[in-house]
Amino acid sequence: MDRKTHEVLKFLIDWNNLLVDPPVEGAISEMYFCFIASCQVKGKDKVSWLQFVKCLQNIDEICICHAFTCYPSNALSLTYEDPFKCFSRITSIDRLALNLVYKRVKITMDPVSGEESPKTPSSPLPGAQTAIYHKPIPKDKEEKLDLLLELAESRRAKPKRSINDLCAGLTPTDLEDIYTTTSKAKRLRQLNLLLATHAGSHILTKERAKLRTIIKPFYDCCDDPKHTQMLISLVSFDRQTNYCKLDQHKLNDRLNMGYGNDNDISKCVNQKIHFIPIIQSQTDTKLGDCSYLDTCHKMSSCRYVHYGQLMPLDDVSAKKATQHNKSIQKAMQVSDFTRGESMSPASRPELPAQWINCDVTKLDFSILGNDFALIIADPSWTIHMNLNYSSLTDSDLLQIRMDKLQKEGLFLLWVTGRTIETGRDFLKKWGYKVVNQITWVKTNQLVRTISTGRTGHWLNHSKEHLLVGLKGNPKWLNKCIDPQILISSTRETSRKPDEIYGMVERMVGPGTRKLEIFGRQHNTRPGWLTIGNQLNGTHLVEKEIAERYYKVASV
Amino acid sequence: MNNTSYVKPIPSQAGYSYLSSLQNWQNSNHYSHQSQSRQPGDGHKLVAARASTKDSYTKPSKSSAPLAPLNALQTANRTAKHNHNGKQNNDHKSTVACYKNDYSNHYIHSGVLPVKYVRNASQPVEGYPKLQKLVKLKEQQVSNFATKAYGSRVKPEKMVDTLNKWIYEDNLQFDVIMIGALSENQLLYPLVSQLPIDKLCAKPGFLFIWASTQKISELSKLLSNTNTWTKKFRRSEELVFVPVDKNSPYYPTDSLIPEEQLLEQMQWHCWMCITGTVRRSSDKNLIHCNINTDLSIENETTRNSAVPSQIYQVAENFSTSTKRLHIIPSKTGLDHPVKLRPGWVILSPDVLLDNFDPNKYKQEISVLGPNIPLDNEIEQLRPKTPV
Repeated sequence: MDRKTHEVLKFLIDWNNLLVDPPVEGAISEMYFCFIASCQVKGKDKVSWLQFVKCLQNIDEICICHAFTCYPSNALSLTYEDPFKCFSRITSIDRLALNLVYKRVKITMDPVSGEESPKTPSSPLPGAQTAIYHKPIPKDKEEKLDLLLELAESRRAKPKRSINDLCAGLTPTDLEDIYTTTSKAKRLRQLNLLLATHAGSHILTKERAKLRTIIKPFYDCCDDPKHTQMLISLVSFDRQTNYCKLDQHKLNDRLNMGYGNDNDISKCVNQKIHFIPIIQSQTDTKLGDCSYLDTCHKMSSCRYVHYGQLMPLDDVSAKKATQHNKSIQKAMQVSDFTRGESMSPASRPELPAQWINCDVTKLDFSILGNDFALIIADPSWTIHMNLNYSSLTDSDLLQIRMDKLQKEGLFLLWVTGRTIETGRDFLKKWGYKVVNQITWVKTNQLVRTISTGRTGHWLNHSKEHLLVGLKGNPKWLNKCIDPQILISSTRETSRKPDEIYGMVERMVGPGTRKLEIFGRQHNTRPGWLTIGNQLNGTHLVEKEIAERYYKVASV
Repeated sequence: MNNTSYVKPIPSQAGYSYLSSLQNWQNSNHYSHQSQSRQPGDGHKLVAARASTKDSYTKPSKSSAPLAPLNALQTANRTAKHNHNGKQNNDHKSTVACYKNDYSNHYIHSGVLPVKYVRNASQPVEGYPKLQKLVKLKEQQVSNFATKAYGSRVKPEKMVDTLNKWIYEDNLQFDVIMIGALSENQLLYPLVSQLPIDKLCAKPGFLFIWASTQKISELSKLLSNTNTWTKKFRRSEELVFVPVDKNSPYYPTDSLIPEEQLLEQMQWHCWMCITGTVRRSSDKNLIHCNINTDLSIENETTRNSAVPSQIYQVAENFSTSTKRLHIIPSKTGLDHPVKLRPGWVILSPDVLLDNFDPNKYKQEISVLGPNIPLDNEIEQLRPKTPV
């Protein structure tokens, strides 16, 4: 395709709607004048009227007469001496066809005419894939279909564009350059850019959360099977703790013998967690992994493979964490960004853990106050299964006066497969709007999702849901800091991940009152009041609540 | 002691159980912070510190416990101390847990999404040879008994007419129907409630219907509405699909403003509904349960299409029917081309091919048979309900 046809093609793609709509109404002569005007702005070569018509014919030919619908229908095959004698119109332009042609032209022309798009990096497709684009189009219908499907399949998922990519090419080249800022495609990109840019307040909130959250040491897990193979003979396993211990001398000996890639493994052992298969006399490796792994009760006789955890030897991560964590107190005191906070949170000390052992269905909720920022509840929903704890019927649960606990704030409710809908319903009845749903992806010792064990009725379950209800419109919520997916390993039956407390802390901010309903002793923690019937007695430090509680209790 | 002075506001009576429990606690040997210097009014902090050591929730400034196990020995000591401290927690078994990463905490500081660390995302049944074999056999069998890939390109406003024609003129019925795609603009309620799904779906039949977290309330409104076709379907599983990073074409950014979302949107929901009666123990010619899980994470097999291939696979592995229909009721945009899949008829305004012919399809089905036949090896391998 020659350069002029290419220009015409680009022009048609950018302006196709405006050209067919009034006032131009697809008149070929008017289109020509528009084109000339746009060329002049960009200082491109002149295109004569006859050349322009020829270009249109070319394009239509390439698209097998699908690019334009004309009036009269043979308009493009007629000859016009000059634009003032041409009254034919193009009634519609197939944008998709033009775009396809443009894409193909770009791919075939790109390596030659590098100056066409100097800023955008050449297409990231590897050689093997671009080869498909250069294949001649077969004549046979079946083969055509095969090629089409192949093309559709091979296109790799296009990554979402980053903000920098969006910005590229949006600045006008000079004062005369209307094209860059007004063409349709560019205007769409400007809008996308605007939508993709985060508000300053959001960025600040995220930064604040970062400064105030302690860093917990974090170690990546090694995925190299060679390392695991090599380490099997170098570690000893302690069944009491499930940890492996590396024999440093043996490792050094092995490395001195020049086994494997020395640097690689010694570095990896220092930085990453390794899961080492424990091969016992009864272990049959062909069976694969034990479904229970570290929670298996018959570990000494189980024939499936179990693993021991080898911690990294280096503690760089822990040191970095300590340093950051020391500065948190300061970050709390020096708070320049106080959006959503009444005052410096450091001046409000966190309340210690409080708990009340009681029958939740019988407790008078008015004694607890109604200013909780957040409530979390994990009711033991009835299911058709025998569990070692008593469950609550749906109607008993609905009877509880949850509506009395908050003027405004969040209510997080753990639900099971059957009760997602019931839970939504209950939250609505208690005065909340369900605004989100957190998914806990349950993992095992090896940080793999749980995928065996007939954990659900129709499909296996590897996740649990936490419904998020919102009452009122609290101004103090920190939004969009954590993702709605939480990855954590399973523990004892029905015990929920502790990560949720960190997420809550970031959502409602420090120093706020939080309530946990149906909590057990391991749920109690500073800032939280926990109620439930499996707690060790009652421990209250807030004066008002304690007074009200003992007044009621003594009656 | 300071502790008693803190709770002084309440008249101290012997009957107050919390006081006695406090004193008990003071005398007990959980008290591992003896060395910490105490100042007046420090009482409640001590309670807090105690609770935090117990739950491995460490407040940096107040706890002297090491933040992370540096080696196995040290951790062993620490865990042992935990058990000792937590002897009052006799409500749960004393299982010993190794050091676990907190991926949510890590996300705040590194920006790497927690899902990125799931180690079996690309091979969900890793470590289970039996299951791996089963999944492979099922895949082969499903592709052996699949119709050609069909597409029917129909504008959203013509969809109801097209479906009615299929039902009343061509006598078509499907056993597996999927509705929607991973796109926010699926105009769920108004159009979907009009679709004649109850006539189109055989009994027993299976429905898979997509929604974003924002649209899920609309979906539950739809399924609880007794005036539409949905009254014949009951919701039985909730599938979730999670993209693995923010550049993924499946990451739901369309129309999302961070200032209005409580949490960062990540997931797509797909409800699995059943009409008619199927029993998981006896209807082995119709359904195979517990092969897949209700969670799929984006990986190399996902393909760039309107629906991740993993979820098509869940439907194919679950129902043995060969008649599958996917209705995408509105445009999905350039980033999600609607690709074809063997074994499925895809009805969409954007589907790549428009090659569906009801008569040819019926002919193909009559050759294939309405269900994939039983296979002895699969029967042996698949998880079954104990009788």
